[in-house]
Amino acid sequence: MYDQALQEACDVLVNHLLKVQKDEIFVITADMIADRAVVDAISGSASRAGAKLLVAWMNTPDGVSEAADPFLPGQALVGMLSAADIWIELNCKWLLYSDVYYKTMKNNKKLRHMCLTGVDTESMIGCVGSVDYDAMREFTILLRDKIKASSEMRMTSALGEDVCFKNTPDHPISCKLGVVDKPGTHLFVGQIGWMPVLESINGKIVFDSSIAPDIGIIETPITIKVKNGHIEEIHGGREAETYEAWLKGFNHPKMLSVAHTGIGFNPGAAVVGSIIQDQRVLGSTTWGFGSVGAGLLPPDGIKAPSHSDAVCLNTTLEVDGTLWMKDGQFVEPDLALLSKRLKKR
Amino acid sequence: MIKLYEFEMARAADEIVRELVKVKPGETFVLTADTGSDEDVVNATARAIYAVGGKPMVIWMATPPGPGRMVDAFLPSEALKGALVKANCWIEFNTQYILYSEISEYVQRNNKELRTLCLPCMHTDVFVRLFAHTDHAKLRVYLDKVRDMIEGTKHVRMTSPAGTDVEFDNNPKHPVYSRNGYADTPGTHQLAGMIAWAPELDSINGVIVTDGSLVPQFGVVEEPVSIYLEKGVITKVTGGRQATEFEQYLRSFNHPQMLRPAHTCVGFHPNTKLTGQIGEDERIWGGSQWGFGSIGTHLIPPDGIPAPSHIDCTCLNTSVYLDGKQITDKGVVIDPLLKEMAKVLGK
Repeated sequence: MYDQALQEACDVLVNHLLKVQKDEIFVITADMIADRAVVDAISGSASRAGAKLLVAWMNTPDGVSEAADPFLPGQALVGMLSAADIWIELNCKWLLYSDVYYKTMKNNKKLRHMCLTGVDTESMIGCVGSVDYDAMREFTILLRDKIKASSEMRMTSALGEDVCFKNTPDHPISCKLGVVDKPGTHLFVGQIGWMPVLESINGKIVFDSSIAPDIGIIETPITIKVKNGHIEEIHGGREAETYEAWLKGFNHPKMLSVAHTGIGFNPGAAVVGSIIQDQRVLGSTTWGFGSVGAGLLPPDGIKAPSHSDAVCLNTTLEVDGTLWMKDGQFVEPDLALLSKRLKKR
Repeated sequence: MIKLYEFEMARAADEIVRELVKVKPGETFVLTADTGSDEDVVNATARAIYAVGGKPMVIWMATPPGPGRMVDAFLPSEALKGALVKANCWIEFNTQYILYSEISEYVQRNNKELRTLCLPCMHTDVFVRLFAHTDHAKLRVYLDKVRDMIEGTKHVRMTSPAGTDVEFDNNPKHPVYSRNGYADTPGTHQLAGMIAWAPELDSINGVIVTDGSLVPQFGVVEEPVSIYLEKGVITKVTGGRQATEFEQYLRSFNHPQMLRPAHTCVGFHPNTKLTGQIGEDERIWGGSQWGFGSIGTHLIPPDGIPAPSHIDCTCLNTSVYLDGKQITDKGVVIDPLLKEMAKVLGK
């Protein structure tokens, strides 16, 4: 029943966002738990656009990022991707921040990498096909500039979250404006991410949406106490225990450090247990732990064995004494007005 | 619902992975396939690779307009090369095969450790028939013996009830391959069941009557296609509609090598039948086969002879004479030693 909407969303991705040109080498990678319908639909769109398509299927690693490397034919993947113009990553166990990823991006400076890890049919339709890209671009730039100019932030929620931190103009604000025709790694629109001043992050973060990888949608909120940017305590139910064991299982200090924060505002995103969509839910905030990409902390980022993203819903955000979001709704007048136009009509 | 030969597929894939390619844990194993390939065959093989600890990478691509060098401009060649030069093993399931292309030659030059098994157009029923029920160890003994006999031959003549009568000299510098299916050593390997070699091209004279198939471009022939050769060059082609189409096809490339033989083969796979599938038809027990067009570097070292494409023509029920001594008569083995050995294979 989604066939037509899915194909339209894939056409938007290929023609409008990636602006695929005839004879460009277009590689899709997918693991055994990726959504085949999405792979096939993107393949169809890419073929119609005249691209030279390769679809590479592989087994599903036990982990993501660097933890995925030992399970994959890394050199062959790097060899293939180093000669590609476009790489759509649909692997559920993502390669982003893996050795394969770093080597590929180093070897191939022209590559447009679209990280669509775990994207399924509904995600494609909701997060790509349903967006008004003109309004999204305007909103994203406004929010980015406001964050760039901000100094102090406080995030709270009805579940007891209360975390404060400082921003610095030295750290880039990463956001996607919907055009993927430039080299580098790109994601869905509808999220802004940045690295606060690490040592300034203090307080309680309460996750009530989802955690990636492995855990997915959480049933019992997980409370993480952060001191000077590092995790001190993790509380909650069984999922909290699992998450703590996962983070500490790497036996690497950076896995317990904040890697970024972010705000979600994709109007088609819903909590589905796929992080790329979950962290874009309108009014949500995301915290990353572990490896930090070079785009967030130039020039090299911070390497760690893996990376995790965890999402809070319905966040209240106060910035330099002004209320921007209240329980997940944008209330700052300029943002509030624009946020109503983000969904395509 | 159960799929065609779903149980047997596992055995066929295991035979390839464990017995023929001898995959070791951690090896990178690339499977390439085009949109005409049989997904069940590809996935069964990938499962078998993963089961023994290999790292399968299944690469699908669009189907080029033709095989050999016709794939080069059509496919994302650089990305394919990038993957294949870092692979330990490669099975090519493409219907429009990459063998003889620039991609293939490049990969052979730059990955000397690669074990390649060419299984173009491999479909479920052929896959099961030729792999699940074949004792490759026994078949190898037989094929290697025939290879040894051909290697020691100077002059070959082939005839058939359909009218084939062609003869040629062997060139001792051209290797004679026992296609025994084993791909456990570096190099390009093929489906078991035939002996393949490039004769001294200028010495080929006579008529080749194809009454099996013209593959992969035309399939099983409706009526025999007679190909006349003088000093290794096609002078005329006679027969029905397909004969005309075949000759037009070869001449459309406007390339001299497309009118010259690339290799000959004799087929000895005990489980084959004529289906129009390129690999199987070439290996029909007692048949012979001629390729036209590009010649691989393995057949005429070191450079082969490039051409825009390649086509294979199958003749059934062939009588083969090695230096005047007949070893098969209308497809039946009559050489006493080979006859005895064939019994082990159920023939």
